[in-house]
Amino acid sequence: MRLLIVEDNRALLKSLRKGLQEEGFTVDAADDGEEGLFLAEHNEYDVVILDLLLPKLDGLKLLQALRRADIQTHVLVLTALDAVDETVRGLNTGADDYMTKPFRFEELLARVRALLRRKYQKKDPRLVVADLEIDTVARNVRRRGKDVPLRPKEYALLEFLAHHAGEVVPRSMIWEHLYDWQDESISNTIDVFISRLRKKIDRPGLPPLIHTVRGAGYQLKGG
Amino acid sequence: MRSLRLKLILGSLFVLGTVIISFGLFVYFAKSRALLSVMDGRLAAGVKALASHVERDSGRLIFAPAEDYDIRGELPPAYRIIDEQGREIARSAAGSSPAWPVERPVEGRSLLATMGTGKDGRWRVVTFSSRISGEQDRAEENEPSMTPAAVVTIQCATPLGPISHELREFVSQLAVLALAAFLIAGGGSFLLAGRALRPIRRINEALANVSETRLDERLDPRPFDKELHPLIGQLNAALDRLEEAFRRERQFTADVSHELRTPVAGILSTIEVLLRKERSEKELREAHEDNLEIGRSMQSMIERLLLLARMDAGKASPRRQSTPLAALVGEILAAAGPEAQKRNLRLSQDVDAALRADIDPDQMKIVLANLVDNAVRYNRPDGSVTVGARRSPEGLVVEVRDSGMGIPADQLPLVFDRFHRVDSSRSEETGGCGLGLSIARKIVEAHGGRILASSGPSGSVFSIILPEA
Repeated sequence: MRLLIVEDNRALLKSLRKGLQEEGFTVDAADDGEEGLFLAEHNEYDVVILDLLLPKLDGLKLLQALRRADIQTHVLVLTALDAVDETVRGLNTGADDYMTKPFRFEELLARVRALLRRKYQKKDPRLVVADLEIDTVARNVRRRGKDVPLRPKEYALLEFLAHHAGEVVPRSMIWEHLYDWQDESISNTIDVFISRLRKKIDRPGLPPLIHTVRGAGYQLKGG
Repeated sequence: MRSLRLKLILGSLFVLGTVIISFGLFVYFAKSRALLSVMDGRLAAGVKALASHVERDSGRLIFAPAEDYDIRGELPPAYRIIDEQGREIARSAAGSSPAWPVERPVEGRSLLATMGTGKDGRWRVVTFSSRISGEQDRAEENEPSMTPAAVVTIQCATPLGPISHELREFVSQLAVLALAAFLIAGGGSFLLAGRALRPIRRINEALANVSETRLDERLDPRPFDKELHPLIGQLNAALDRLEEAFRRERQFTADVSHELRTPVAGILSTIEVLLRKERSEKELREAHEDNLEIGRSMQSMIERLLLLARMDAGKASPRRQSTPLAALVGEILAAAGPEAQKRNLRLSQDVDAALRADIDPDQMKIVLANLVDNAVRYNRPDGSVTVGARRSPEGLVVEVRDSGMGIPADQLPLVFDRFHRVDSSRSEETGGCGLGLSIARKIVEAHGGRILASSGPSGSVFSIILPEA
């Protein structure tokens, strides 16, 4: 899952980025409105966390520009402006959620996950594919009732595939959603993570869930 | 307790009482004069009648009404006729009579008097002197010898009792009337005063609706009389100012809380993320450094806020002393040097070495440091910052000129507002905390001066004008 944080307070940006990355999200960051808008227009983010009082371009103007450009990204406004009319204005401009500072990191995380569920039109925080069960809140994976320990990047990849269960997911789409825009790694890193996932999920004796579709991408589906 | 209504009532009753009493007195005297003049007329007629019946008879003066003539209808209640020697020729029959006045009028004239004795009280007396012509002696017709003419004094009197009685009755009627008028007027003025004061009550009620939370209420002058419109206008203007003050206060409080929320969110989020797992020494150190930086910027903001609050409360009045300006400006520019070097800015000063100003050097340093700091921050690379000072007819002018991007015209009037920032940024990189110019203005105003901002495409100029004593 790929997030964008637009926040001009350096320390806040840094800690949010770190905290969210540790939760397995791919995080891009911008510390002014113009850069934020540029990134949001040129990458596909699952959720944008947006401050309102920003240098160069005000957060609401950024949001407006995004919506006018018909960019559907879910936007969570995170701001010190806590008056009811500010909240109303934020939501009416096209924000999907509104949080005021200071905030609890746990709550921010929960709200980001809720927005992701909305994006993938799921109410259940669990993702189930055949006998594979992913708890997106606790971020643990079980196959046939047995825990499968995963590294954050592996988990992120599996969760992304599970969100698109049954569909063929192109490698470019995985790339878009799972890698930082500054990420230097080459595209076959995806193959590396896929093969690691296979080793852990599709153990010998179990019917394989992760399929490679030649020339198209990957697919997660039950037998 | 002073009551406007009571004053209005008492005032109108006083005026009314004066009018009623003067009117009563006037009517009373007019009436008594009229009665008296009727009485005097009757007395005069009586005197004339009496005089016409005085004649000579054989040298003696006698009062002899004709046999066939009934004089009684013309006779006053009391009279007497005396001759020049004071001998009584005739007098009214039994009954009381006044003490007759002694004074005699000139012949042919009458004299009026009011005598205060007699058992019937006061009397009105007319005294008349009449010449009785001489008469031919009837006995010696052939040798007529004339008896000389004589003067008699005729006095007629009427008791004043009936008039006094009538006047007393008249006075009591008048008193009843006056009392009634007074009561009616009292009631009327009570009602009128109430009516006149009703707008005050209504204004009062309307003002009661205006509470701290509903300061946007205004009085509508339309239902009030036009005399009250200026008052209502003033009240509304006072409410405007009050509302504006409250709005600023609320805005300021809201701004302060916003300004403090972001750094607090930064500290909390840094710590929360940190505590989610075991951390290495390096990570811990980095988090501490981040929080230290936030803490320092919060401290600086709080100190600025405290300075502003002290100045607002008038507790930081400038301690003026004669200060060489060139040295002060040099110090400020030196402090801004490193930051300017990073951006490759040229700092210069145009201040006469001999120029001194009567200012608080510590406070003026804060002002200039803020202005120079802004000039450095909002400049273009390779630009310049110039601080100049000169005397002008208006006073001492200190100018900080930059070659930056300038300030949009619609933002110029707002730059001195607390927490106002041209690009609404709260970033430490460009921003500071948005209080510097407010503090600068406050200090300059405490010095009795003004601070102005002007801006164009080639940069902005902030001018401090300090009037010299």
